[in-house]
Amino acid sequence: MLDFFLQTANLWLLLALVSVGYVVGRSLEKRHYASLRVRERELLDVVALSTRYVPPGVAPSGATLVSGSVVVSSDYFKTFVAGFRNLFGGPMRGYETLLERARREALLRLKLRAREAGARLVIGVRFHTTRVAGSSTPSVEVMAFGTALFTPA
Amino acid sequence: MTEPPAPRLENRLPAEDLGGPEEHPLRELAWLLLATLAVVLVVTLLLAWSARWLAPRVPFSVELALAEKLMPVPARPTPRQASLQALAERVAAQMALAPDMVLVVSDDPSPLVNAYATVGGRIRVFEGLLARVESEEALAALLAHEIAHVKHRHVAANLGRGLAVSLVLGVVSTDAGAAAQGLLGDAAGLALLGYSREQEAEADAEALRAMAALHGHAGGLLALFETLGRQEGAGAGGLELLRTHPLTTSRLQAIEADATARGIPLRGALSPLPDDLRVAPHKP
Repeated sequence: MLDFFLQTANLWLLLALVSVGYVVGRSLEKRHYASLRVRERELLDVVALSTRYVPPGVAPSGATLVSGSVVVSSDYFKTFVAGFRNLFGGPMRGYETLLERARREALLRLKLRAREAGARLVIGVRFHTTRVAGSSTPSVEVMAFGTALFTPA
Repeated sequence: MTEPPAPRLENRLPAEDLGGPEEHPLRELAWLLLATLAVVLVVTLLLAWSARWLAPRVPFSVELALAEKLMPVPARPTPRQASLQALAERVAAQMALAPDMVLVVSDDPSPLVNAYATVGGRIRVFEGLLARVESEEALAALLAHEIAHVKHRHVAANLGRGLAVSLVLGVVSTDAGAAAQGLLGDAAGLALLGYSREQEAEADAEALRAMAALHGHAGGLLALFETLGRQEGAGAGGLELLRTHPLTTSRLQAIEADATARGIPLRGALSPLPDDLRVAPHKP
Protein backbone atom coordinates (compact mmCIF):
# COMPACT_ATOMS: atom_id res chain seq x y z
CA MET A 1 0.00 0.00 0.00
CA LEU A 2 2.79 2.39 1.03
CA ASP A 3 4.61 1.22 -2.08
CA PHE A 4 1.69 2.32 -4.22
CA PHE A 5 1.67 5.81 -2.71
CA LEU A 6 5.42 6.16 -3.11
CA GLN A 7 5.29 5.12 -6.75
CA THR A 8 2.53 7.61 -7.46
CA ALA A 9 3.93 10.37 -5.25
CA ASN A 10 3.93 12.92 -8.10
CA LEU A 11 0.24 12.46 -8.62
CA TRP A 12 -0.60 12.98 -4.95
CA LEU A 13 1.60 16.04 -4.73
CA LEU A 14 -0.18 17.51 -7.75
CA LEU A 15 -3.56 16.65 -6.27
CA ALA A 16 -2.58 18.32 -2.98
CA LEU A 17 -1.38 21.49 -4.70
CA VAL A 18 -4.47 21.72 -6.88
CA SER A 19 -6.76 21.14 -3.88
CA VAL A 20 -4.98 23.73 -1.76
CA GLY A 21 -5.17 26.16 -4.69
CA TYR A 22 -8.86 25.49 -5.06
CA VAL A 23 -9.87 25.75 -1.40
CA VAL A 24 -7.65 28.68 -0.46
CA GLY A 25 -8.11 30.52 -3.76
CA ARG A 26 -11.87 30.21 -3.61
CA SER A 27 -12.14 31.40 -0.03
CA LEU A 28 -9.84 34.36 -0.71
CA GLU A 29 -11.87 35.24 -3.78
CA LYS A 30 -15.12 35.16 -1.82
CA ARG A 31 -13.68 37.42 0.87
CA HIS A 32 -12.28 39.80 -1.69
CA TYR A 33 -15.63 40.13 -3.45
CA ALA A 34 -17.34 40.85 -0.11
CA SER A 35 -14.78 43.53 0.73
CA LEU A 36 -15.05 45.04 -2.77
CA ARG A 37 -18.83 45.41 -2.43
CA VAL A 38 -18.53 47.22 0.90
CA ARG A 39 -15.84 49.64 -0.25
CA GLU A 40 -17.50 50.34 -3.58
CA ARG A 41 -20.59 51.50 -1.71
CA GLU A 42 -18.47 53.69 0.56
CA LEU A 43 -16.78 55.34 -2.41
CA LEU A 44 -19.86 55.95 -4.53
CA ASP A 45 -19.49 59.69 -3.91
CA VAL A 46 -16.25 59.76 -5.93
CA VAL A 47 -17.20 59.49 -9.60
CA ALA A 48 -14.74 58.07 -12.12
CA LEU A 49 -15.46 58.55 -15.81
CA SER A 50 -13.58 57.63 -18.93
CA THR A 51 -14.43 60.83 -20.79
CA ARG A 52 -11.51 62.88 -22.08
CA TYR A 53 -13.31 66.21 -21.62
CA VAL A 54 -14.50 68.11 -18.61
CA PRO A 55 -18.23 67.32 -18.53
CA PRO A 56 -20.57 70.25 -19.13
CA GLY A 57 -21.63 72.00 -15.95
CA VAL A 58 -18.33 71.26 -14.19
CA ALA A 59 -15.97 74.16 -13.62
CA PRO A 60 -12.77 72.71 -12.19
CA SER A 61 -10.46 74.88 -10.15
CA GLY A 62 -7.57 72.47 -10.62
CA ALA A 63 -6.56 68.94 -11.56
CA THR A 64 -4.10 66.26 -10.54
CA LEU A 65 -3.11 62.83 -11.75
CA VAL A 66 -4.34 59.96 -9.59
CA SER A 67 -3.71 56.26 -9.99
CA GLY A 68 -4.43 53.02 -8.24
CA SER A 69 -2.70 49.74 -8.95
CA VAL A 70 -2.80 46.18 -7.76
CA VAL A 71 -0.74 43.09 -8.54
CA VAL A 72 -2.65 39.81 -8.45
CA SER A 73 -1.46 36.28 -8.84
CA SER A 74 -3.34 33.29 -10.11
CA ASP A 75 -3.47 30.25 -7.85
CA TYR A 76 -2.38 26.71 -8.63
CA PHE A 77 -5.91 25.58 -9.38
CA LYS A 78 -6.73 28.42 -11.77
CA THR A 79 -3.43 28.00 -13.60
CA PHE A 80 -3.93 24.26 -13.85
CA VAL A 81 -7.42 24.63 -15.35
CA ALA A 82 -6.32 27.46 -17.65
CA GLY A 83 -3.53 25.23 -18.98
CA PHE A 84 -6.05 22.67 -20.21
CA ARG A 85 -8.23 25.50 -21.54
CA ASN A 86 -5.31 26.37 -23.78
CA LEU A 87 -5.78 23.04 -25.52
CA PHE A 88 -9.54 23.21 -26.02
CA GLY A 89 -10.35 26.93 -26.12
CA GLY A 90 -13.30 28.65 -24.47
CA PRO A 91 -13.63 31.18 -21.68
CA MET A 92 -11.10 31.06 -18.86
CA ARG A 93 -13.58 31.68 -16.10
CA GLY A 94 -10.98 31.59 -13.35
CA TYR A 95 -8.92 34.30 -14.98
CA GLU A 96 -12.01 36.34 -15.79
CA THR A 97 -13.00 36.67 -12.13
CA LEU A 98 -9.37 37.21 -11.12
CA LEU A 99 -8.93 40.13 -13.50
CA GLU A 100 -12.36 41.56 -12.75
CA ARG A 101 -11.44 41.71 -9.07
CA ALA A 102 -8.12 43.31 -9.96
CA ARG A 103 -9.80 46.03 -12.06
CA ARG A 104 -12.33 46.80 -9.36
CA GLU A 105 -9.62 46.92 -6.70
CA ALA A 106 -7.45 49.22 -8.84
CA LEU A 107 -10.40 51.56 -9.45
CA LEU A 108 -11.18 51.64 -5.73
CA ARG A 109 -7.62 52.58 -4.89
CA LEU A 110 -7.75 55.30 -7.53
CA LYS A 111 -10.95 56.71 -6.04
CA LEU A 112 -9.42 56.60 -2.57
CA ARG A 113 -6.42 58.63 -3.81
CA ALA A 114 -8.78 61.11 -5.46
CA ARG A 115 -10.78 61.53 -2.29
CA GLU A 116 -7.57 61.99 -0.26
CA ALA A 117 -6.58 64.70 -2.74
CA GLY A 118 -9.89 66.39 -2.14
CA ALA A 119 -11.49 65.59 -5.48
CA ARG A 120 -14.92 64.09 -6.17
CA LEU A 121 -14.59 63.61 -9.91
CA VAL A 122 -11.96 61.76 -11.95
CA ILE A 123 -12.07 61.92 -15.74
CA GLY A 124 -10.08 60.20 -18.47
CA VAL A 125 -9.82 56.97 -16.47
CA ARG A 126 -7.85 54.24 -18.24
CA PHE A 127 -6.78 50.74 -17.24
CA HIS A 128 -3.39 49.36 -17.94
CA THR A 129 -2.24 45.76 -17.51
CA THR A 130 1.32 44.50 -17.26
CA ARG A 131 2.30 40.89 -16.98
CA VAL A 132 4.73 40.30 -14.14
CA ALA A 133 7.21 37.78 -15.50
CA GLY A 134 9.33 35.22 -13.74
CA SER A 135 6.91 32.67 -12.40
CA SER A 136 5.06 29.67 -13.74
CA THR A 137 1.92 30.93 -12.00
CA PRO A 138 0.96 34.05 -13.89
CA SER A 139 0.64 37.35 -12.09
CA VAL A 140 -0.41 40.67 -13.54
CA GLU A 141 -0.46 44.28 -12.47
CA VAL A 142 -3.68 46.14 -13.17
CA MET A 143 -3.40 49.89 -12.93
CA ALA A 144 -6.08 52.56 -13.22
CA PHE A 145 -5.14 56.18 -13.76
CA GLY A 146 -7.03 59.37 -14.49
CA THR A 147 -7.29 63.10 -13.94
CA ALA A 148 -8.89 64.15 -10.68
CA LEU A 149 -10.70 67.47 -10.93
CA PHE A 150 -10.97 69.88 -8.02
CA THR A 151 -14.36 71.54 -8.05
CA PRO A 152 -15.38 74.34 -5.71
CA ALA A 153 -18.13 73.01 -3.50
CA MET B 1 -32.74 80.40 -24.61
CA THR B 2 -32.02 78.62 -21.30
CA GLU B 3 -28.92 76.53 -20.57
CA PRO B 4 -29.71 72.78 -20.56
CA PRO B 5 -29.43 71.36 -17.02
CA ALA B 6 -25.99 69.91 -16.12
CA PRO B 7 -25.95 66.12 -16.68
CA ARG B 8 -25.95 63.90 -13.63
CA LEU B 9 -22.53 62.29 -13.14
CA GLU B 10 -22.54 59.00 -11.27
CA ASN B 11 -20.97 55.58 -10.89
CA ARG B 12 -23.26 52.65 -10.27
CA LEU B 13 -22.38 49.52 -8.36
CA PRO B 14 -20.90 46.85 -10.64
CA ALA B 15 -23.08 43.96 -11.75
CA GLU B 16 -23.02 40.95 -9.47
CA ASP B 17 -22.10 38.53 -12.23
CA LEU B 18 -19.64 38.61 -15.08
CA GLY B 19 -22.14 37.62 -17.73
CA GLY B 20 -21.65 34.66 -19.98
CA PRO B 21 -22.17 31.03 -19.08
CA GLU B 22 -21.43 30.07 -15.48
CA GLU B 23 -19.76 26.70 -14.87
CA HIS B 24 -18.63 25.23 -11.58
CA PRO B 25 -14.81 25.26 -11.57
CA LEU B 26 -14.57 21.63 -10.47
CA ARG B 27 -16.93 20.53 -13.21
CA GLU B 28 -14.88 22.47 -15.72
CA LEU B 29 -11.67 20.88 -14.42
CA ALA B 30 -13.20 17.40 -14.57
CA TRP B 31 -14.18 17.49 -18.21
CA LEU B 32 -11.04 19.32 -19.35
CA LEU B 33 -8.88 16.78 -17.54
CA LEU B 34 -10.74 13.74 -18.83
CA ALA B 35 -10.79 15.05 -22.40
CA THR B 36 -7.05 15.82 -22.34
CA LEU B 37 -6.15 12.48 -20.82
CA ALA B 38 -8.27 10.69 -23.40
CA VAL B 39 -6.57 12.53 -26.26
CA VAL B 40 -3.09 11.89 -24.84
CA LEU B 41 -3.81 8.19 -24.25
CA VAL B 42 -5.24 7.66 -27.73
CA VAL B 43 -2.33 9.46 -29.40
CA THR B 44 0.22 7.61 -27.24
CA LEU B 45 -1.25 4.20 -27.97
CA LEU B 46 -1.49 5.02 -31.66
CA LEU B 47 2.16 6.05 -31.75
CA ALA B 48 3.20 3.04 -29.71
CA TRP B 49 1.35 0.76 -32.05
CA SER B 50 2.95 2.39 -35.10
CA ALA B 51 6.39 2.07 -33.53
CA ARG B 52 5.83 -1.63 -33.00
CA TRP B 53 4.72 -2.00 -36.60
CA LEU B 54 7.63 0.01 -37.92
CA ALA B 55 10.48 -1.38 -35.81
CA PRO B 56 10.89 -4.77 -37.59
CA ARG B 57 10.86 -2.92 -40.92
CA VAL B 58 13.82 -0.72 -40.03
CA PRO B 59 17.03 -2.44 -41.20
CA PHE B 60 19.13 -3.73 -38.32
CA SER B 61 22.10 -1.89 -39.84
CA VAL B 62 20.50 1.39 -38.70
CA GLU B 63 20.58 0.13 -35.11
CA LEU B 64 24.13 -1.07 -35.59
CA ALA B 65 25.29 2.33 -36.84
CA LEU B 66 23.68 3.99 -33.83
CA ALA B 67 25.28 1.49 -31.45
CA GLU B 68 28.70 2.10 -33.01
CA LYS B 69 28.33 5.80 -32.32
CA LEU B 70 27.02 5.39 -28.76
CA MET B 71 29.19 2.54 -27.46
CA PRO B 72 32.15 1.30 -29.49
CA VAL B 73 33.02 -2.36 -28.98
CA PRO B 74 36.16 -2.80 -26.81
CA ALA B 75 39.05 -4.06 -28.92
CA ARG B 76 40.08 -6.84 -26.55
CA PRO B 77 37.30 -8.60 -24.62
CA THR B 78 38.09 -9.82 -21.10
CA PRO B 79 37.90 -13.59 -20.50
CA ARG B 80 34.54 -13.07 -18.79
CA GLN B 81 33.18 -11.13 -21.75
CA ALA B 82 34.46 -13.82 -24.11
CA SER B 83 32.67 -16.49 -22.03
CA LEU B 84 29.45 -14.49 -21.95
CA GLN B 85 29.70 -13.94 -25.69
CA ALA B 86 30.28 -17.64 -26.38
CA LEU B 87 27.32 -18.64 -24.22
CA ALA B 88 25.11 -16.04 -25.91
CA GLU B 89 26.06 -17.33 -29.32
CA ARG B 90 25.27 -20.91 -28.30
CA VAL B 91 21.84 -19.71 -27.16
CA ALA B 92 21.32 -17.52 -30.24
CA ALA B 93 22.00 -20.50 -32.52
CA GLN B 94 18.68 -21.93 -31.26
CA MET B 95 16.73 -18.72 -31.80
CA ALA B 96 16.75 -18.25 -35.59
CA LEU B 97 18.04 -14.68 -35.60
CA ALA B 98 18.07 -12.78 -38.88
CA PRO B 99 21.48 -13.22 -40.56
CA ASP B 100 22.43 -9.55 -40.18
CA MET B 101 21.80 -9.50 -36.42
CA VAL B 102 24.96 -9.50 -34.35
CA LEU B 103 25.18 -9.76 -30.60
CA VAL B 104 27.79 -8.12 -28.41
CA VAL B 105 27.57 -9.21 -24.78
CA SER B 106 29.52 -7.49 -22.04
CA ASP B 107 29.52 -7.33 -18.28
CA ASP B 108 29.22 -4.31 -16.03
CA PRO B 109 30.84 -3.95 -12.60
CA SER B 110 27.62 -2.57 -11.10
CA PRO B 111 26.16 -4.51 -8.12
CA LEU B 112 22.64 -4.08 -9.55
CA VAL B 113 20.77 -7.34 -10.09
CA ASN B 114 19.87 -6.61 -13.69
CA ALA B 115 20.67 -7.07 -17.35
CA TYR B 116 19.50 -5.26 -20.44
CA ALA B 117 19.52 -5.32 -24.22
CA THR B 118 20.01 -2.13 -26.13
CA VAL B 119 20.51 -0.92 -29.71
CA GLY B 120 22.53 -2.94 -32.18
CA GLY B 121 22.24 -6.23 -30.30
CA ARG B 122 24.29 -4.98 -27.35
CA ILE B 123 23.53 -6.90 -24.18
CA ARG B 124 24.89 -5.95 -20.79
CA VAL B 125 24.85 -8.14 -17.70
CA PHE B 126 25.52 -6.55 -14.32
CA GLU B 127 27.90 -8.28 -11.90
CA GLY B 128 25.22 -8.15 -9.22
CA LEU B 129 23.17 -10.53 -11.33
CA LEU B 130 26.14 -12.79 -12.20
CA ALA B 131 26.84 -13.09 -8.47
CA ARG B 132 23.35 -14.43 -7.83
CA VAL B 133 22.85 -16.73 -10.81
CA GLU B 134 23.63 -20.26 -9.70
CA SER B 135 23.82 -22.28 -12.90
CA GLU B 136 24.91 -21.99 -16.49
CA GLU B 137 21.37 -22.86 -17.58
CA ALA B 138 19.93 -19.91 -15.63
CA LEU B 139 22.47 -17.54 -17.20
CA ALA B 140 21.65 -18.98 -20.63
CA ALA B 141 17.96 -18.34 -19.94
CA LEU B 142 18.74 -14.75 -19.01
CA LEU B 143 20.71 -14.26 -22.23
CA ALA B 144 17.92 -15.93 -24.23
CA HIS B 145 15.44 -13.44 -22.76
CA GLU B 146 17.64 -10.48 -23.71
CA ILE B 147 18.38 -11.93 -27.16
CA ALA B 148 14.62 -12.25 -27.68
CA HIS B 149 14.32 -8.48 -27.09
CA VAL B 150 16.90 -7.97 -29.83
CA LYS B 151 15.29 -10.49 -32.17
CA HIS B 152 11.84 -8.92 -31.90
CA ARG B 153 13.28 -5.42 -32.32
CA HIS B 154 11.85 -4.31 -28.98
CA VAL B 155 14.75 -1.90 -28.53
CA ALA B 156 14.05 -0.12 -31.82
CA ALA B 157 10.32 -0.05 -31.08
CA ASN B 158 10.90 1.47 -27.62
CA LEU B 159 13.32 4.02 -29.00
CA GLY B 160 10.89 5.16 -31.71
CA ARG B 161 7.97 5.12 -29.31
CA GLY B 162 9.84 7.14 -26.69
CA LEU B 163 10.86 9.77 -29.23
CA ALA B 164 7.39 10.07 -30.74
CA VAL B 165 5.64 10.29 -27.39
CA SER B 166 8.01 12.88 -25.96
CA LEU B 167 7.55 14.92 -29.12
CA VAL B 168 3.77 14.89 -28.71
CA LEU B 169 4.01 15.61 -24.99
CA GLY B 170 6.39 18.44 -25.71
CA VAL B 171 3.87 20.06 -28.02
CA VAL B 172 0.84 19.46 -25.81
CA SER B 173 2.36 20.40 -22.48
CA THR B 174 3.87 23.64 -23.75
CA ASP B 175 0.29 24.81 -24.03
CA ALA B 176 -1.06 23.01 -21.02
CA GLY B 177 1.53 24.46 -18.64
CA ALA B 178 4.11 23.09 -16.26
CA ALA B 179 1.66 21.60 -13.77
CA ALA B 180 -0.08 19.51 -16.39
CA GLN B 181 3.20 18.38 -17.94
CA GLY B 182 3.98 15.82 -15.25
CA LEU B 183 0.45 14.49 -15.21
CA LEU B 184 0.26 13.99 -18.97
CA GLY B 185 3.73 12.45 -18.98
CA ASP B 186 2.70 9.99 -16.26
CA ALA B 187 -0.46 9.10 -18.17
CA ALA B 188 1.49 8.43 -21.35
CA GLY B 189 4.08 6.45 -19.39
CA LEU B 190 1.37 4.32 -17.82
CA ALA B 191 -0.11 3.60 -21.25
CA LEU B 192 3.33 2.52 -22.50
CA LEU B 193 3.94 0.20 -19.55
CA GLY B 194 1.36 -2.14 -21.02
CA TYR B 195 3.55 -2.51 -24.10
CA SER B 196 6.60 -3.03 -21.92
CA ARG B 197 4.96 -5.91 -20.02
CA GLU B 198 3.76 -7.41 -23.28
CA GLN B 199 7.34 -7.35 -24.59
CA GLU B 200 8.63 -9.03 -21.43
CA ALA B 201 6.05 -11.79 -21.77
CA GLU B 202 7.00 -12.24 -25.43
CA ALA B 203 10.70 -12.42 -24.51
CA ASP B 204 9.96 -14.95 -21.75
CA ALA B 205 8.06 -17.18 -24.18
CA GLU B 206 10.88 -16.96 -26.71
CA ALA B 207 13.45 -17.74 -24.02
CA LEU B 208 11.44 -20.81 -23.01
CA ARG B 209 11.52 -22.15 -26.57
CA ALA B 210 15.28 -21.53 -26.79
CA MET B 211 15.86 -23.30 -23.47
CA ALA B 212 13.80 -26.27 -24.60
CA ALA B 213 15.87 -26.50 -27.78
CA LEU B 214 19.21 -26.06 -25.98
CA HIS B 215 18.76 -28.03 -22.75
CA GLY B 216 15.53 -29.92 -23.31
CA HIS B 217 13.94 -28.48 -20.14
CA ALA B 218 12.81 -25.18 -18.60
CA GLY B 219 14.87 -25.63 -15.41
CA GLY B 220 17.27 -22.75 -16.15
CA LEU B 221 14.51 -20.24 -16.78
CA LEU B 222 12.58 -21.27 -13.69
CA ALA B 223 15.75 -21.16 -11.56
CA LEU B 224 16.44 -17.65 -12.90
CA PHE B 225 13.02 -16.36 -11.89
CA GLU B 226 13.24 -18.05 -8.51
CA THR B 227 16.52 -16.21 -7.96
CA LEU B 228 15.01 -12.90 -9.09
CA GLY B 229 11.94 -13.49 -6.92
CA ARG B 230 14.14 -14.04 -3.86
CA GLN B 231 16.05 -10.89 -4.71
CA GLU B 232 12.84 -8.85 -4.86
CA GLY B 233 11.88 -10.26 -1.48
CA ALA B 234 8.46 -10.53 0.05
CA GLY B 235 7.62 -6.83 -0.31
CA ALA B 236 7.72 -6.84 -4.09
CA GLY B 237 4.03 -7.18 -4.75
CA GLY B 238 2.09 -4.12 -5.66
CA LEU B 239 0.14 -3.15 -8.69
CA GLU B 240 1.23 -4.77 -11.93
CA LEU B 241 -0.31 -1.78 -13.70
CA LEU B 242 2.54 0.43 -12.47
CA ARG B 243 5.39 -1.89 -13.46
CA THR B 244 7.56 -2.25 -16.54
CA HIS B 245 7.78 -6.02 -16.06
CA PRO B 246 5.00 -8.40 -15.11
CA LEU B 247 5.27 -9.54 -11.48
CA THR B 248 7.86 -12.28 -11.10
CA THR B 249 5.23 -14.63 -9.69
CA SER B 250 2.99 -14.16 -12.72
CA ARG B 251 5.98 -14.63 -15.04
CA LEU B 252 6.82 -17.91 -13.32
CA GLN B 253 3.22 -19.06 -13.63
CA ALA B 254 3.03 -18.08 -17.29
CA ILE B 255 6.24 -19.95 -18.09
CA GLU B 256 5.13 -23.06 -16.23
CA ALA B 257 1.78 -23.00 -18.02
CA ASP B 258 3.45 -22.44 -21.40
CA ALA B 259 6.00 -25.21 -20.78
CA THR B 260 3.28 -27.65 -19.71
CA ALA B 261 1.24 -26.82 -22.81
CA ARG B 262 4.25 -27.44 -25.04
CA GLY B 263 5.25 -30.60 -23.20
CA ILE B 264 8.58 -29.15 -22.04
CA PRO B 265 9.85 -30.70 -18.79
CA LEU B 266 9.92 -28.11 -15.99
CA ARG B 267 13.05 -29.45 -14.31
CA GLY B 268 16.30 -30.93 -15.52
CA ALA B 269 19.99 -31.13 -14.73
CA LEU B 270 21.67 -27.79 -13.94
CA SER B 271 25.44 -27.35 -14.26
CA PRO B 272 27.50 -24.87 -12.22
CA LEU B 273 28.75 -21.66 -13.82
CA PRO B 274 32.19 -21.85 -15.45
CA ASP B 275 34.92 -20.24 -13.34
CA ASP B 276 35.39 -17.05 -15.38
CA LEU B 277 31.68 -16.22 -15.10
CA ARG B 278 31.52 -16.70 -11.39
CA VAL B 279 31.46 -13.51 -9.33
CA ALA B 280 31.83 -13.39 -5.56
CA PRO B 281 28.63 -12.03 -4.01
CA HIS B 282 28.83 -8.31 -3.37
CA LYS B 283 28.89 -7.06 0.18
CA PRO B 284 25.53 -5.45 0.96
